[in-house]
Amino acid sequence: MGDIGFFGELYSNMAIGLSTALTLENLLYCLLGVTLGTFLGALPGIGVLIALSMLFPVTFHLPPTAAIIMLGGIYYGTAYGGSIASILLNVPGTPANAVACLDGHPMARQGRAAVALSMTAASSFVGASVGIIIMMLFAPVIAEHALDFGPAEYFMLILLGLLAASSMSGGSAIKGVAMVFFGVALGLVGTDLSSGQNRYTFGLVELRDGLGLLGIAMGIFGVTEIVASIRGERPAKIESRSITLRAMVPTRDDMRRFWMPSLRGAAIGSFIGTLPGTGSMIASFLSYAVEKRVSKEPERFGKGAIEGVIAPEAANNAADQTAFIPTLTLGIPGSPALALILGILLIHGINPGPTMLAERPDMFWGLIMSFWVGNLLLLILNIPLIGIWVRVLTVPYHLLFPSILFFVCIGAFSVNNSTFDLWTVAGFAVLGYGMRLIGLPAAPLLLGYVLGPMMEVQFRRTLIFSSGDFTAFFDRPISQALLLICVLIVAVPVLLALRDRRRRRLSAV
Amino acid sequence: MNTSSDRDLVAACALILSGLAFGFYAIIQLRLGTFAQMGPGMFPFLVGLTVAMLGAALLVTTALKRRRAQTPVDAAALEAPDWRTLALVVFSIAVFALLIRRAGMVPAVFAMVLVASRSSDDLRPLKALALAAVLCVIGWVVFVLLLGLPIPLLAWSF
Repeated sequence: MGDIGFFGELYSNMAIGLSTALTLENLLYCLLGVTLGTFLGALPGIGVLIALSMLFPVTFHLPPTAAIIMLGGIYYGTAYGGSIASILLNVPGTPANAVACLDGHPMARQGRAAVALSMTAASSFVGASVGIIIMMLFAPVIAEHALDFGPAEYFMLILLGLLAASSMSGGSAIKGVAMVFFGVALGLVGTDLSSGQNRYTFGLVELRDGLGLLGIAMGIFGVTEIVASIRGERPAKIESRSITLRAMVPTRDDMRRFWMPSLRGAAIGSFIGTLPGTGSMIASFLSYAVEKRVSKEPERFGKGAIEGVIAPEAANNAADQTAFIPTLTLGIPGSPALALILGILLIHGINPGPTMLAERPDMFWGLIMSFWVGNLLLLILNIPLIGIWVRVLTVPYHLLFPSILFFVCIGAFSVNNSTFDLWTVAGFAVLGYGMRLIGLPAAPLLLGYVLGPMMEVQFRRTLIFSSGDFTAFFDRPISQALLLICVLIVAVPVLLALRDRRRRRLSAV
Repeated sequence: MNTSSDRDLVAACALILSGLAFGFYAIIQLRLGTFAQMGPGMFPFLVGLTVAMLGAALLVTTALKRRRAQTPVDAAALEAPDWRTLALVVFSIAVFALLIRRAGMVPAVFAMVLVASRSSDDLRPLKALALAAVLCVIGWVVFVLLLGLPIPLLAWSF
């Protein structure tokens, strides 16, 4: 830290960041990102993955810093928009907002939708602020330590991230881990960088650069979701029509219930967000449970308790921010959405990781300071614009899905000005739909696809340095600890299942 | 495919087959090398093997589950496949891919929206045409005017 001290350094970094984030161009793209993010998040059926893959082609032609600022805005903007759909329609705009339905929708039925929306905006801002502060304090420290990591530590860290993300995301752990490795396999298609040999290209020139991230993400998430949703269209029924600025003013009782739940939510979210494989959905569910537990009147929950909206929304926004810590400091994303952002950064020629802080401080701190700008914009914009977002909810799906398809098609075509990416989208739409039918999860596949090539590089490097000796993967304390966590992630669910079985057998006797 | 355990058996077989195919390609097409001197095929071979082994693990656990529970508990709640919608949506993307270079953006967007609209009962042809026109304008403004991409509006090169 040298002679200027930790806070002196932080202060100068903030100055660097602000000078990047506050240029007119970057401010404009931040505004555009959060507005489009809120818009898409409010549309039911469009989650953060679809929003990012749909709009990535638009950012492709921007300068890298502006592109990442805009993508960041889309990413956390969808969380704001998603809660609007949860409260007014009882249909979560994104999975992370599902908890907001539990008490937000009852509030709307009691005619308190406007208060629920304004308190959500405020608590989201509190959550995001805590998340950003944690990030500013800890990211540089982690990056500094990560500079000492060798290939074995990196390999173990990637493995840990993949295992955690796939086995904790719900559903069958075996299927999740299998899809991660299936994704790793897809990531290996293309020219092998160390030998120059083409792998799995089947003579196609277009495949030498690998299967496109965009085609996979758009096909497997965007188009598959469309196919599954077209037939299920239901007319949207909005609960509360009178959402005026006046009705958004919270009562004194609401304000009294605001601070502690939002700070508790922010703390839980910030912690959960940094762990691999958890993400904002788990953060919001956990903070709802905690809030119900600490409440003196738990019977109010589920019937329109405002704490049940405030805490989870603070938590998911905090988690969305702190999820950037492992992605930017180690180059290892903990969730599929961050994996997509990481993949997009790689396409832009940016390598997130410990060296990014040293080599591109303007970009790193610019992004962090743009989070402040973006969240402030969301807070300011959402209150007067809420009427527009309410109307967005009533857009029928039969007008929406051709529009999504249009952005997918023209976006996929425009990135390389080639139709090959369109055929990739079509192929992965079929694969994604097939996976959905047989119950194989798509999100771990994306994570594996992005991390696969990195995993191979670290694997090979480790074994080259050790001349083929596998003990090199666990002969240092950090990699030993990581290996232990990997083993626990795999072993604990198996042991729990065995214990359950034995208990059931005993009770049957 | 009626129960979730039937579905898991299909998933397990799909994983085993794709893992084996991936690993097999590595053996016959790429050089494996040794662990100290790895060739381009070693890591893909290991990855394919892992996928196949996880598929086998799924097969075994599902088979055990089936033997224990004679009556399937969760037979319901499986999504029925909707091949017609899938075919129409994929076909609409294919039509776009075939037309965008040869005929330009306007015909490609109209054809894409018209094909896709057949999958929805609510999107009547006239409404679909109007929607396609709006999308063409948006596409022109965003991608041609603002981003300056060389996408022709109309072309003729079959």
